[in-house]
Parts: sequence; C-alpha cells; structure tokens
Amino acid sequence: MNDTLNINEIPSGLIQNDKSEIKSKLWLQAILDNSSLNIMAFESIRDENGNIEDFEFLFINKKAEESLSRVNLTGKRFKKEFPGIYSGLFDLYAEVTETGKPLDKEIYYNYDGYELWASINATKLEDGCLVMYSDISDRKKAEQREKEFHEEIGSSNTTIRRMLDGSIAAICLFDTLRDEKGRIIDFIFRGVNKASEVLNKKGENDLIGKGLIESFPEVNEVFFKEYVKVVETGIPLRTDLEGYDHWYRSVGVKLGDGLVVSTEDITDRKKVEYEIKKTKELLNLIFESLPMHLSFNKAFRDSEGRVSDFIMEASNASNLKINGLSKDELGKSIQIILPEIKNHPFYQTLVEVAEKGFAQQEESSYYIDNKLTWLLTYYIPITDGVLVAGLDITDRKKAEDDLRESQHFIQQIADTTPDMLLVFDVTKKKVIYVNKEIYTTLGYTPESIYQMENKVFEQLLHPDDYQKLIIHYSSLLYIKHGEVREIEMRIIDSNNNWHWYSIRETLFKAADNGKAQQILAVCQNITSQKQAEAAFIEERTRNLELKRINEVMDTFVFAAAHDLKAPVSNLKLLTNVIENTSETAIRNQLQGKYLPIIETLEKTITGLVRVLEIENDSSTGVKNLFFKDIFHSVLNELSENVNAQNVKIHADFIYCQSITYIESYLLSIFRNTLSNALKYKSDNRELIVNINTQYSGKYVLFTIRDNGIGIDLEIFGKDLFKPFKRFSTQSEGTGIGLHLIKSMVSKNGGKIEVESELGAGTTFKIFMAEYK
Amino acid sequence: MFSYEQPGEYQKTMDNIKIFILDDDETNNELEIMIMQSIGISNIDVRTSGKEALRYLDDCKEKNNFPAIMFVDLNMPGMHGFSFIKLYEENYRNFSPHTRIIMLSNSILENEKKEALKHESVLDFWSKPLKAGKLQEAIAKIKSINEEIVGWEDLKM
Repeated sequence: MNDTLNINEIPSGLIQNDKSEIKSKLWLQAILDNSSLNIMAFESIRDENGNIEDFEFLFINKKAEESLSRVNLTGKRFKKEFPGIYSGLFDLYAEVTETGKPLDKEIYYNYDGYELWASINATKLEDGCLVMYSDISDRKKAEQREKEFHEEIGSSNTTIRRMLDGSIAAICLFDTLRDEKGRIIDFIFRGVNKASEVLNKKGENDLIGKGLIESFPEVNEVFFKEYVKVVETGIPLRTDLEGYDHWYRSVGVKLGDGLVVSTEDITDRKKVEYEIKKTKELLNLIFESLPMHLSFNKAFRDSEGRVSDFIMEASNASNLKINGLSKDELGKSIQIILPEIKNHPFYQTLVEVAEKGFAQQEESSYYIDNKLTWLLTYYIPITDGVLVAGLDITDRKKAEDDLRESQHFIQQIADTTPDMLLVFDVTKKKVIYVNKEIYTTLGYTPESIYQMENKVFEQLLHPDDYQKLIIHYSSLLYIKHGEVREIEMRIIDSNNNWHWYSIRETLFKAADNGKAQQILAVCQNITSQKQAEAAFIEERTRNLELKRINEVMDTFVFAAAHDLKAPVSNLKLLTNVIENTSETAIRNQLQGKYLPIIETLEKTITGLVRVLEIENDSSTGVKNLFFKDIFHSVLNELSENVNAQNVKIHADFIYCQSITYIESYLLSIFRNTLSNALKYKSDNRELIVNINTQYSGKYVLFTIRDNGIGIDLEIFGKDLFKPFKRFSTQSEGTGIGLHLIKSMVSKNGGKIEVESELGAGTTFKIFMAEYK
Repeated sequence: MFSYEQPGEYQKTMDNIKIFILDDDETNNELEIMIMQSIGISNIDVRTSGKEALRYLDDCKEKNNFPAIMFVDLNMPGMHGFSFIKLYEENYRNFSPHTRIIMLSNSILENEKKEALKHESVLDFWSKPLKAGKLQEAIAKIKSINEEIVGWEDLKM
C-alpha cells in the first residue's frame, strides 16, 4: 500500500454533500474497520519552530484500537497517550510527514517484555501520515525461535550432533503445526540426523522447517495419527512398521509441543529374527521327529563347582514318553522328576560327561513297558550341559542274535555235512571260508587254504579245469539270489592225487552294485562216479568195437566155414571116390586132384589169416609212399596177366603223388583192384584200365576205372564187400579181396565207393585217410 | 542097399533116373558125378550157375523132360540156392510135379535147414560131401512116393 491517499482525489461528490459526507465517512469507517490491518491517520502537531512534536489521531480503525488496547483515540495526542513507548515509531512517522518518503519496513519493538514485530506502511497525508501496519510478531517469533534453535544445535551442541549423526536410527524432531482451532495439521521438521536424511532421502535443508505431510504427502494416515496421539497424550509410541520392503521400529516421545521420533531400519534384524524363528521351528521339528529319545540336561553345580544335579531343559516327545514324564516337568531337576536316578549308571555317565567334557556312548538294556529294550545312548557335552540321544537298537540286537544263531547253525551244518563247503570272494579270488571236510578228503587244513590267497585255484585245480573256471567265472559275477551254477572240476589233494568234484554255486553276498561279491560253493566228491563213468564209456567203446568185430567175425566165420568146408568136403569126396574105384589108371588120375583142392584150401586159410591180421594190426609200418613205386611193384607181380592179354593200363599220379600209409595195405589195394579189373574184363574188347589219385576233402582218393563186364549193383551191391561172396564164376579168387580192402581202408576212417554198369565197366573209388 | 521087388529092378531104376546138379564148385561136381556113376546113375546134368540152370529148365520144359532129383547148392555166387528154388517153384514146378529137390550145403545151420524144407519141392537138406548110400535111400524113397502118385512105369525118365 504505497499509494498516498490524497483527500483531493476523493470524488467530490462524496465530500460536498453533508449527508453524504457523513454517510461516506461512516462508509469509509466501516471499510477500514473491516480490514485486518491496523490503520491510523495522524496530523502533525508542530511547535513554535515548526518541528513536529506530536501527532494527533485523526483516525484509527478497530484493529488498531485492539492492538493498542485503547479506544476513542481520535483527537488524542500520540506522544501524550503513549509516552515513550512508541518513540521509535514517532520518529519514523515524523520522517514520513516531513520528507514525504513512504515507509515500508519491518520493525521490531520491545518494551518491558512486550515484543512486537510489525510490517509498517506509512505515507504522507497532508501534514501528517497514514499508517498501515500488520502484526507479524508470530511469524517473526517463529523465525527467531528457529534461528535460535539452529544456533543451539549448530553451535553449542556439536557433540550431541555427532552423537545423533552417529546413530543408525533416523532421529527427527518435530514441532506441531496447528490450525487456528489448535488442531494439529502437520509436523514441522525441526531437526534431523544423518540417518534421517538417508531414510527420508532428503537433505537437512530440504527437511528443516518443512512439514511432514508437506514433504511426504504419501505418509500413512495411521502413522500420522500415532504422532498426534503422542503429542496429545504424552504416551510414547513404540511400533514396528512395514514399508517399502523394509521393517522399521519407531519410537516416538513427546517433546514440547512436538515429538522426537527415532526410527530404526530393522529389516535385517527382522530377517534374522525370522530366520531364527524358522530355524527354531525346524530344529524343533527335527528334535521331535528324530527316531531318537532326545533331551538336553543342563548341569547344576554346587558351591564348589561340582555337578550335583541336572535340569532337563528340553526333551522331545519320545523321551518324555519312555521316561513317563510330562511336558510340565521340563525345567525341573531330574533327581526330582526321576527319583532314584542318582543311583543309575545313566546319571553317573551324565556327570562324567559334564565334568570331563568328552562325549560317550554306551549300549544298555532296559525294561520299558515290560519289554526288553536295547538302547544305544550318546552323551554329548554342549556348553554346560549334556545332550542325550538314545537310539532303540532292540531290532538290531535281535538281528545280531539271530545272525549269531544262524551262524552257529551254519557252522554246525558246515561241520557235519560230508560235502566240502566253501565261500570264496569273487573279486579277490580267494577262499574266505572252507569247512573241515577239506582236510578229511584232500588233506589241507583250512588255514593253509586261506594262506594260498588268490593262488588257491591255480594251485589246486587241474590246468584244463582252471581254464574252464576262468570262463565260468564271468557267469558267476552276475549270479542272482536263488540261482545255482554247476561245474565239475578236478582238484589235487595233498598226495598229488586227482579228485573229481561236482560243484554247485550260489550267491552268498552281493555287492552294492548288484554284482556277486561272495559265492558259496558246495563240492561233492564224484571221483568214483567219474571213474565208473569212464569205465562205462570205455566198456561201451569196447563193446561197440566188440560188436563190430563180432559182426565182422560172424560174416567172416560163416563165410569162412563155407569156404573152408568146400575144399574139405571135396577132399572127402575124392577119398570116397578113390576108395570106390578099383581101376589104377583112374585112381592115379584122381590122385592128381588132391593138390588143387589142397591149394584152394590153403588160399582160403591164408585169406582168413590175412583178415585176422588186419583186424589185429596196429598202424606200425606207416611211411610216406609214392604211388608210382607201388604201382610199378604191383604191375610187376601181375606182369603175366598184364602182358598176356589185350590190356592197356594208364596211371596218372600227377594230382597226388604220395601218401603216408601202411605199405602192405597200399600194395593190397593196388593189387586187388587191378587183378579184379583183369579178371572181370570183357571178352569182346580190349581191357582199358585208368588209375589216378587226387586229394578229395580230407581224403586221398584213389580211382580205378575199367571197361570190363561190370557188376549188377542192384543185385550184388550189398554183398560186394562181404567176405567170400563171389559174383561170377569167372574169377578164381578167394572172394575176400574186396572185403580185405574195405577193412584196411575203413580201419582209420576211409571209405570205398563203387560205380558200375553191366557190360560197360566198373569204377572203384577208394577214399584213404592218411596216417599222421 | 535096398531091396527092390524085382531082380534087375534096381539097375532099371538107376538107368532111368535123371539127376541134375547145380553147384558152382566144379571139383565138387566132378567128384559127385563119379560117386553117382559108381552106383549106376548115368543120366546126370550139371550146371554151375543159377542162370545156366534156368536155361536148362527151359530146355527141359520144351522137351517135357524134367529131372527126378535136383541137387541144389545153397551158397553160390550170383544166384543163391533159395532164389533158384523159388524161381523153379514159380515157373517150372507145374510142369514137373514129380521133381524133388535135395539141397546141399557145406554148412548146416538149423535155420537154413528149416527154411529149405519150407519149400514144397524140397525133399531134404544134406551137408556135403554127398554119400552114395544116402543117395540110394533117397531114390528108393522117391520111387515109392512116385509109385503111389503116378505109375513108375509111366514116367519117362
């Protein structure tokens, strides 16, 4: 309000009219009274010298009257009414009146404890001034207080400042901001520490003097209300709050018309608390669910520091149960809750563990619910107490007993069975148990067997069977429970005699991966059976041989009989005839007949002997023979017949020149086949004989082909190689030639084949097995 | 010697009787012929193989003149004695119901004898050597049989 109010500028209409002058005067008064400003108008009172010595109140509004606490000041003198108190003001007004320079100033007035801050506007009004001022005391006071406060904190209390800044809690000092009605509408930050700055994410300067809601509009209403409550009730606030993924603990305490709030970020602590809680829950769960009887017993020491008692501080449900206790008895002395415990070895152990600090364990039996129970108890010293953990091992004990019993049982079986029993480790390849039978039958002590370690099989088994075992081994590795493997082996005894054993193997123990680890073997001595078997086989072979021989002999004998008897009967006949003949000439003639008959007889007998020789012959006289040589030798023998007749013989040994054979046999083969070809030649044509040798599979094949009269194989085929069967009267032979050849050849695995066509010729194929 | 009812009858019988020998052993055959001749038989035919014997029988058939006795050897190369007899019985017996066969063998196995006697035409089974006395007995026997069936005088021998 800098404008000078010049009366002259008031619309003349208002002044000239008296009525309206009064009206406008009242109207003006009303306006000015309504104002919240203090408005006064002065006229200066000058002295003889023209200096202003006082002012006369021309006008004063209601507000000013209130402020001055005086009414009816109009026409009164300023200095006179307020002597001395407003002298500063007087000078300022005088200056305005004199200079006409407007005044716009904040002044501070202090009189007798009465403070006043005012903002004054004064303008010259004719020979006086118009003054308008507002009381800004409150504002100024607040500012002053602030300043003081800051100075207090800033200058004289740096230590406290440091302390506050050093705190991890965010500390804020608030003053209330109240509305006209006195209700708290906000809290003004008066002071903050470093932590607070961080928490609020604002610097000190941004916070101080600002309102809480003003700065953080999003502040929780409840939160705010709590603060209000603190200020109003004086009851401190203690609360944990959650906000922005953090946990805070707030403590608010009334201070003046405000409060100090200390906020700590307890997120970590909360987390830890949470973890601890969870861990506790987990531990408790474990504690309760472990299949052990658990208790923690704190040592109670007497005045001399010796353990005199224990307090059962914790126990899981199963431990309470077996001791017949209830939860209420936790925390009490065990001598009270378990009377007579002091005499029990359990107590002694507890004391020992608590005193010495070394853990112990013991197995002991108790009667619980009238049942014999075995417990394995662990005593573990923890701080000044003992954690006792008892494990029910009744089943295990029972299993151990059962095992012992069955071991005893097995041992008895092992000792009484006539079979040899052994357990061997498959991977280590050594015998880990063998019963006494090994000594009885083989003469080895069990100890000596164990000492052989992994050489045991090598040393005791027949080399062939050891090889067999190596192969058999791989099937043993995968043997399953219930499966049985069998093997027969020869084992040498301590006198170097071999014994046959029939061994049955089963799984004794399996490794974790399922493979066999130990094998139980039951060994039955079958030496006598084996010997009987061998004897049986030998006999059977012999029998077969005998049978063969018998068959040969039967045919042979039969044929022999006939062929021997023939010349003999002829001799008888001859004798008879000669007896009945008296004529000398005829007698002489007849006597000449003896010789040929006897020769026939001799030939037959020779032939028979030959057959027998072949049957009994072993393969002595085996050598490498060249066909060429044999052939020429035989040709020589038969030279008469060969040369005398129309005969052509071709021999070709180019594909196989020699054979390892018995010389006499080979000669017989050549001789016999060749002489047969000569005997059975056709009258109608020249005899052509072809001989050749070659390799055929595992045999040496001798082929002789002729173009003689041939043989009707349909009729004679089956008798071809039987002794003494002649097929035509054409020959003079004994009839055992082919039979002999067959015997020779088949003796060591050879065979003979014949092809023939009547009237065309015959082919003999002799497959000879070479001698080694 | 057997008694013949009429004097000279013996020789008459022996003169008329026709004998056939089937045997592969020629020496044996020669000697048998001599034995037979020594007791008066002169009408003797010999063959040494079954094949030849059959041809001989064809001949007999043609001439309608079969032997009274055929001596057949058991073991022969080529055709066995039994085979020959079977063939004879099948093909020729009808034409010579009076012919008798006597089997000869070096061996006498009981089952062979049984087998032989099964045959209708086989009169007997003898082991070698042939005995003159035995032959005479056989002839007498045959005569008596044949006289019963057919008139001896009617036989053309």
